[in-house]
Amino acid sequence: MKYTKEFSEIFNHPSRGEFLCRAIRPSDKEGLVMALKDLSIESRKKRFLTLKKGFTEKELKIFTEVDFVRHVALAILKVVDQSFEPVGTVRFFVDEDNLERAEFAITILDKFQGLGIGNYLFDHLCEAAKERGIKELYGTASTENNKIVKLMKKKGEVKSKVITHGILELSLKLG
Amino acid sequence: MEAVWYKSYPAQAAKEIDPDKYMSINEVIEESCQKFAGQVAYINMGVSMTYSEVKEKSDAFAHYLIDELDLKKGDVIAIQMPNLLQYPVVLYGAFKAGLIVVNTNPLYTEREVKKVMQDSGAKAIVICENFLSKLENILPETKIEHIITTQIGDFFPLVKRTLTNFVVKKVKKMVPAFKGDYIGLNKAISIGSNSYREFPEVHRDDIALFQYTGGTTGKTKAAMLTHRNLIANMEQMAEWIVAGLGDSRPMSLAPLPIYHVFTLSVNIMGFFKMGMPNLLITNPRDLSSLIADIKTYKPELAIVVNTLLQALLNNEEFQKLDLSYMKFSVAGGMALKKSVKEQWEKMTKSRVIEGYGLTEASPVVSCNPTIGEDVAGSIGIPIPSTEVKITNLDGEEVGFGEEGELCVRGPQVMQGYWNQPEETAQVLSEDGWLRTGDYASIDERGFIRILDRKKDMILVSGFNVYPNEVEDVLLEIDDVADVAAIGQDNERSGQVVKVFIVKKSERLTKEKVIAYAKENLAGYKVPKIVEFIDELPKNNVGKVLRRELR
Repeated sequence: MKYTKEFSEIFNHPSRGEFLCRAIRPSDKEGLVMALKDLSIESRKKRFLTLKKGFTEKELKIFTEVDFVRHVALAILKVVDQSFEPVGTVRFFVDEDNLERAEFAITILDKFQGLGIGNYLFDHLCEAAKERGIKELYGTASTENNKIVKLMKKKGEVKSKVITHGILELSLKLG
Repeated sequence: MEAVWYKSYPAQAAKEIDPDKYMSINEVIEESCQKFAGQVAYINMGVSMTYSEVKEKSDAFAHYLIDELDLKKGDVIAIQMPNLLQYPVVLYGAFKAGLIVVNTNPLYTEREVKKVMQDSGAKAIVICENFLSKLENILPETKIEHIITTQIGDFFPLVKRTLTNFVVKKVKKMVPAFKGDYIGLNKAISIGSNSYREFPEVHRDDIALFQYTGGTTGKTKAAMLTHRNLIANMEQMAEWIVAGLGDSRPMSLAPLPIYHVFTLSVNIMGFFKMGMPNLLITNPRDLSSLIADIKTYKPELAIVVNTLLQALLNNEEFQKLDLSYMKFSVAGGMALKKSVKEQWEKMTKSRVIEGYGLTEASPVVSCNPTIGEDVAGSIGIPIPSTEVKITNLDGEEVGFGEEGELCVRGPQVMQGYWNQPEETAQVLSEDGWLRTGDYASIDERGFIRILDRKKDMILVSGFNVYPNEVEDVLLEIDDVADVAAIGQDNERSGQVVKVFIVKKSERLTKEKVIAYAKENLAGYKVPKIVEFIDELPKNNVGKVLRRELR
């Protein structure tokens, strides 16, 4: 399998230089905390469906101690001289009762949005999902989050259903 | 969708109206003031104001705005006062001066006033003194250059004016101390009455109102409503109401706030145009005074909301009244409960018909007929010149009986949100369809039923509350780690705000949460229920599961 704990790939952006896409590691906890501070209020609300102030210990553990079996998570970082600047993450969690279905979430820091990095990450995520026999990726989003719908529509037909006021479940069948 | 609802229209109601009949609202005001010159236009606290007086004062005020303050067409003026005789005078004066009006809720906290003033760029404000100290605190952060103040009794005859203002200030102590020295409205009108400069030419496509409404992302948004939008809705409602009135033009009770577009459009625009006196109620929570006014003036029509009807029906004094003279009432703002409708109709021996609207549609979209079939639980049929459709989640139109989002098109639909092109694009299509954010279905006769809300919104006594806005404020409290706000059903107000809070420290109490909310949010947005929990329910990827909280 390509998408394991060892996964790592350099991505050369046409205008913004070199990025590193790799599997999330337990040592990324501090990076996640710092990155949340850089995420705008609007982006936090879109990602977490609430204005997130910070991560709990439990959340940091879940988000960074990834098994790459039911839970796959990739990070993308900007290469800056000898170090790396957080850019975003993407992940999916396979459903407990349906191994062919997984919920995904994607976060790109505001200053890196609109550059195609979300598409790049989502492409990888779809490949990782297919590798594991997942046939459908779905996400929970605000009814006003058009960006995620656009992202998903690039990979195929998106179906939506209402979960509750203001919240939709958007699903994509993987070809 | 085929306009099958025409078959349920009252015989006298036209299917279409002409939204271009008037060049601007000013033409409507002028025409009405000439036609009904000596008649009473407004009554408040026992004092009447005729159409001639409305014209005289609003003309003078408009002159003051243009000549003394040098305000230009398109400048923004805010109005912040409860229902008083001054309100329509200031509103019409602002329209005549070619200004854009921002109706500002007097219940707003400093923070909320600041948001609205900053976003709108208001250069002037006419404000009731009761709210002035709050404005002074945020004034340096706004673009306001001119403040005109008014006291509650300013438009009353001398003795009553002096007494009323004294009681409000010195006895009831309803005017917190303010620092500055400002020109009073009466003085401004007096100065303006000496000027005869021509008013600017105002066109129906000019913006008349920035009408603020919240949003799911918590952003403050103002619907831009043009003169044409307001004239259209006024004409549409006039067709509807006249069908139920015939030739009579009775007095209407106006207990709902003028700063809310429902009363502004129906009472202050529509009924004014029709020559119907409006009985303005300053404080509808003071049921004794409200009931006394009803006893004295016997208004035959009422524009109401479910919460108010419930409060009146439960009042012993009100239960003793004989209201059989009433013609009908129109309820909007929130769902009209079947039991409340039945009780009110039994008591008044007249109908209360339910309508529906939203700020973005000036506001009325649909209403039950004033004559003929009135369907309980339905928001009625589209009013004249209004198209509706139901769309599925992919934006495709569906048929009668199917469920989906209610969309509206008509001359009453806004131009968009002020300074928010992205937000506008989310609700308004290029061919003029407005997505309401409400799930509905339309039956084979065209009667619409609202099923649920697509928007994440709480409706408290007809006022919109967005969970995001409440959450953002409470998250400012240091000891709050996490919060989620939902609407909880309530017998009296439809819904109340309930919050779930994850504490960072045991120091945090419910009282502290509510106190902070009261300081920063208008009363109807303040949570009525606070529940502390260990953790908000979340899914595997960390998203809050609001459905589990509901």
